Amino acid sequence: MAKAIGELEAEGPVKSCLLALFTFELTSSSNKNAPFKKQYETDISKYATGWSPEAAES
Amino acid sequence: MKISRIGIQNFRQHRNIDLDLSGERGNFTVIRGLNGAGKTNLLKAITWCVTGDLGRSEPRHSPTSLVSHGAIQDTPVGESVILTVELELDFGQEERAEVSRSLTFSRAEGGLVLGPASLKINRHEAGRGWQKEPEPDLWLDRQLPRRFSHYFLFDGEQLEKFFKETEASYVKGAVLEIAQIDNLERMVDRLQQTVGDLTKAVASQRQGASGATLESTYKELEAREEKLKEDVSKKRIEKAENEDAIDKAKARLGDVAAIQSELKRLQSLEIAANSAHERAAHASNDFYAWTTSVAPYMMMFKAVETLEDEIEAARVRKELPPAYDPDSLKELLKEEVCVCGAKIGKGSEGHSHIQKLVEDFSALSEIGEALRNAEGPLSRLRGRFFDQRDKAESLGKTRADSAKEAAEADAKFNNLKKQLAGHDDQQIALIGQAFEKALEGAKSIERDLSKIERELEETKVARVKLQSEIEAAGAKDAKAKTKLHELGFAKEVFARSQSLFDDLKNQVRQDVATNLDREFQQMIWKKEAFEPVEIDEDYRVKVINKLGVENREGLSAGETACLAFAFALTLSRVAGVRYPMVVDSPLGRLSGEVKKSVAEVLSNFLVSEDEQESAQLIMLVTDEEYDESVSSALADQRPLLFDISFDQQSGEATLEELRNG
Repeated sequence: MAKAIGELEAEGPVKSCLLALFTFELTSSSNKNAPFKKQYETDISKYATGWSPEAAES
Repeated sequence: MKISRIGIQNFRQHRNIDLDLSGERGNFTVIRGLNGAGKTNLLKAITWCVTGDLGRSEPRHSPTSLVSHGAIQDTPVGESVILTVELELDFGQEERAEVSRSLTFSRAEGGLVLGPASLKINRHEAGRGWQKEPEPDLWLDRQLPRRFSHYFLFDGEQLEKFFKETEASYVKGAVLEIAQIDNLERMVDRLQQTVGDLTKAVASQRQGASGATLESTYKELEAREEKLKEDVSKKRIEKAENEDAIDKAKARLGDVAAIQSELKRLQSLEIAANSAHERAAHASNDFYAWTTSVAPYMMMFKAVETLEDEIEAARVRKELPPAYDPDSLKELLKEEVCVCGAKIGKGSEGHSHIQKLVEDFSALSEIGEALRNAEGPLSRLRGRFFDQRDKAESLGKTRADSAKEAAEADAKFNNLKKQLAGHDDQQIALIGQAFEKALEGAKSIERDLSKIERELEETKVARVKLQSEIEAAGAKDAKAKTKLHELGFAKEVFARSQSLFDDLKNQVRQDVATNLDREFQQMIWKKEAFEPVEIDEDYRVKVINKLGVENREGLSAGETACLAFAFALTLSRVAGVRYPMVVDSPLGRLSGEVKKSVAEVLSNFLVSEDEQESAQLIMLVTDEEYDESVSSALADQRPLLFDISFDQQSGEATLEELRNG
């Protein structure tokens, strides 16, 4: 999966965010009470700082 | 990865088991024993150690049900019983782990009291020696994931059910799960929720009523979309269930057609039986008619016989002339020559003797004449009697044959009638109605589903439109800037994750289908009977025969078992990790050639040139499963062979290695 994410044609922050979220999903798959909402908000907020919409459009 | 040792204490009938599976020979182990010897509980013990539960065949259990009865009996009140299952895992290159799961109980007056449960793992790595794993649950779940343990620790006899019962949704779940794409699917869903949350956050940044309205409208649309999604999902389940009902009704209609044809046959048999009875009655009548008509002949024949006897006796007594014609005797006297050619001239002794005969016969000539006249009719009467006797034999035979035929026709009719008891017209009509109703239901469900899907699409479009409006409104608001940026990023991450999921999902589906086809074609006995097995976009496994007809439902029990087994092997391959495979009764439902083919595939499973990691297979089998053909098919792999037996007195299972196995 890491390889597939790495090979995606996407900006660095998008890939990093995908990898972080996937890792989180993987490690918390058996924990129904894992704080998903908070984790997603945190990671999106964290990786969005290094991203610009223009880069995505280009 | 392989299991190099299995140690069990006090788990059901396994009081004390220590199996050394280290070395290359431990890659393939066959444990053979009678039903009830403890094979299935051996699988359950391994499953319990890995996952903490007993697998799909026993989804719920109480901890006390795991403890050996013998151990309970041998433990005095107040003392403890410890149940432990230990697995030694070998990862190669000096990397090993000892996994030990245990439960402690104290023996009380009223039974057992559950004490502490523990999972301990010690790991050995090259250069680091043995160390205690600080997070044993997490580590174990990473190495042997609990959620797909049933693809490598399973009961072969459950395979068919395990494959069929959940149908497409099961296949989809298994394919996505084993390739870990289910995590990606969950991630896509959660990113979509995050995009929604961020959209609402941007709307709430707007001051005053406009922001509140936007946020609440968005929430409404979001809630509506969620509700519609649930409705679609429910309708799809309803649709699948209805399709099942149609399939079942179709199958029952097939049965009905067979029953109807049998009922027709029953009618014909009834007609045949009646006709046989009629023939028998006619034959009987004929026979009795003859008996009546032949009676006078019978009596007369008897009288004729008596008369003939009396004539003979009278002739002996010389009361009647012999059966010579007196005229011919007179002729001899006239010619003076006897019938023998001797001269009997007048005065000769011969002449005098015949003269005397003629004179004697003359006295009886009246009776002789009457007798001569009676001989003709008597002879004819005798002839009639023999004719009647032949006819009697023929009639008697016809009567017996037709009675036998009628009895046979009765038996056939009654037998079929018994078989068809309960299949009345009303019941058949009900089956037909159920089918019609299911077909009608399908149309109605399809209409409802299209309506909800259309509504969902419209709501989605409205929500996306509102999302753009919120974004446009947010762009004018400096306060919303950060959230708006995060929303844009979240949308981008969501879109990428969605396309990644779609790509991988299809790729894995194809990959599973290719492997499934290869395994299945290798296993089945009827080679070249099927086109390549497919898994369509709805994850329905399609087995198309050479006539181009989808025929999965028409597979024999053995072929279905092969398909399910092939599926389990495929999942194991697609997982990319060679998990040790422990299979109970892998060949139990198979017979003859199919069993041999499956054994050969299992053998191939162990030999993998393209993978560095060796595979491991532990088979738990009965003697019937592990017969000559299987044994020879697997001989090249030189399995470690153990006999498992159960001692009723001690209530304990024992394992014994068969050295020259």
